[in-house]
This record gives sequence, C-alpha cells and structure tokens, in this order.
Amino acid sequence: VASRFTEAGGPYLYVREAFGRDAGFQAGWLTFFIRATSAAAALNVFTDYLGPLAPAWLKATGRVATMTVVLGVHHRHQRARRAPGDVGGGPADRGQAAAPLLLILLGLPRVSEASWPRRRWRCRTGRRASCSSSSPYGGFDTPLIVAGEVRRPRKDSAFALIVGMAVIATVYTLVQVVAVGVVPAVATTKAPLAEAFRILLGSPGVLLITVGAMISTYGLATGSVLAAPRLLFRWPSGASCPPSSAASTHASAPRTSRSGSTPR
Amino acid sequence: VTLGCAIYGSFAWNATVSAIVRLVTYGLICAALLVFRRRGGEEPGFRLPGANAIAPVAIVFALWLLSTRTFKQAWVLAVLMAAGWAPGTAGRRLLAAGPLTTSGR
Repeated sequence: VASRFTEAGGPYLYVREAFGRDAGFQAGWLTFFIRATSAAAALNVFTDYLGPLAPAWLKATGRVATMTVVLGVHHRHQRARRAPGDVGGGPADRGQAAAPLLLILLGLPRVSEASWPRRRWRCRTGRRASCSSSSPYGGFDTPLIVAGEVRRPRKDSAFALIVGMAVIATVYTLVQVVAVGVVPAVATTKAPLAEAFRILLGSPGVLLITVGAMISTYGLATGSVLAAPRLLFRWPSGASCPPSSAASTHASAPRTSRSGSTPR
Repeated sequence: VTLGCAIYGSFAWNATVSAIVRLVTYGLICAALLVFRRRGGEEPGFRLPGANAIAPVAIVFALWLLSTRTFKQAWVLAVLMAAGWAPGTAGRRLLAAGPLTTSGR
C-alpha cells in the first residue's frame, strides 16, 4: 500500500483514499494514539530501568519529572531538526541496536537447554503472546508516516519495510532465545534482559543493560514523538482538522501539530 | 498526550492499548489494499504477489489475535473510536470540504 503514495500520513492517508474521510480520520486518530501509547510505554521502561541507578526517581514525582524532561528533550530535538526526513534518533538509534546485539553475541554460546521451558505450547496463550508482540514488532509503520520527507517513497518503502522487519524479527527472536535459554524461570523475572546480563557479565552487565535500555527506550520514544506530528500535519489536506495544524517551521517540521504530542 | 498516557498507565497498559489499536489499523490497511487492487490505476512501486489472498488472511489473523483480549483491555479502543468520531464529524462540518488528493490512485 505504501508504495502507492508519496505523501506523509501513513495509515491515515491509505484508509482515507480507500474508504473516505470518516474512516481515514479514524485510522489517523488511532495511529496517533499508537504513537502516543508506544512512546508512553517506552517512557515507563525508561524510568523503570533508571530506578536501580537512582531509586528516588522511581517515586511518583520523580517518574513524572523524568518523563517530562525526556519529552522536553525530544521536543528540543525536533526543534533542532535541520533537514526534512531527519526524524531518526541519531546516536540513540545506534544505541538501540547495540544492547540487543551484545546480548546475542554474549548469550547465544551460553544458552542452556536446562533453562528451556518444558511446558507444551498452548494455542490460547500463544495467541495472547502474539497479540502483545504486535506492539514491539509493530514500529515498522512509523517511517511510512514521514514518507513525504523521503526521496523515493514509492520505490523504497516496500524494500525498507521488508528488510527492516526481517532484521527486527531476527534480532528479537534471538534476544528471546538468549533470555529464555540463559535465565532460569524467565517468566517470573521482572527485567529478563537485566537478569541475562547479570548472569553473563555480573554487576557491570546490569549497569550496561540499564544504560542500554534507557538509550534504547529513548530512541524508541524519539521515533514515536517525531512521527506523530507528521500525522496531524497531514489531516488538514483531507479537511479533517483546522489548517493551523499544518503550520511549518523553517525545516518543514509541523510546528502546531508537534505541540499536540510533546510539551512546549 | 504521550505524557498523559505515560503517567496514567504502566508499561503493560500502554503496550496492550498500542497492540490492540495497531491490529485494528493494520486490518484497515489490509482492506485498503484490496480496494486499491480493485480500482486499478497507476502501477505501485511494489506489487505484492498474491495480495488478494494474503490481505484477507491478514485481516482474519488480526481479528483472531484481537479475540484474545478481554473487554477490560479493549474498552480503550471503543472509547478512542467514539472520541475520534466526535472531532472528525465536528471538523468536517466546520471546515469547507476540500478535494481529496489523488496521489497513489
């Protein structure tokens, strides 16, 4: 579907063109909340992993303050954007990949059959797990929202999605294999990756994954927070909301719509 | 909105809401593919072989996954859709309807 379009908007644009403005607005509205809840989930993980380093920040006020500061940094990142299409997390994107790759490299040789669960696969639990998995695996659609800032979206979107999903599925599956194969009774562990790093590297490993998880969740939240305003930016073209939400900055960043996703 | 969701809900709550809403959106896009195929028009940059069979299977798969959720988890979807209907309708009435773009047709 994405390879038929050259404009920003992603699911909003596709559904609007297929089924009309009402359905399109609903798709855009829901996609906006996908981005908002994904970033919110990432922010919660960020504060959870910050906890062992700064326990005071686990308390209610500290959590809210941390989340506000992180979103404020995202907002500044957005303002500092210089070129259209620059919606990545920069160093945070690279940091996102580093922690899981290190875990795979260190953990795969240590995977033990003894840790492997003995229970038989059950359809209902498998289905529930698959449904929940659609959240972490689902971020592939984010780049489609910013397709209007990509040089050749009709040509490159499908290739980028297929290759991206293949890489993500491989990495996530291997991370799962390592977590299940290294950590005994992984299902009862609150932070499986921290526990895996503790087993593999000791205390320095816990610190490493804590920082890695914070960088990773920061990168994820960045992607969500930077993509969501492009969606609101698109709505006026379908007469779905006031044209003021399409007001742009010097770098084509949607200024007014951005405020709907991030604090000023 | 992001800050509100982050403060109101835990990681699990936000991830579950995200997953439920995501599956609905993916189902809609799969249905859109079938519509675009029927319409024909300009050749897309990438043409998925067997899309007319894959898209319905994907829609059924998304519904099958959604059926694992309880009302306690899925009520947010109903609230969001109802909340989206109101501003969508109000916005359409307030604004003069502009022409739809024809890109991708």
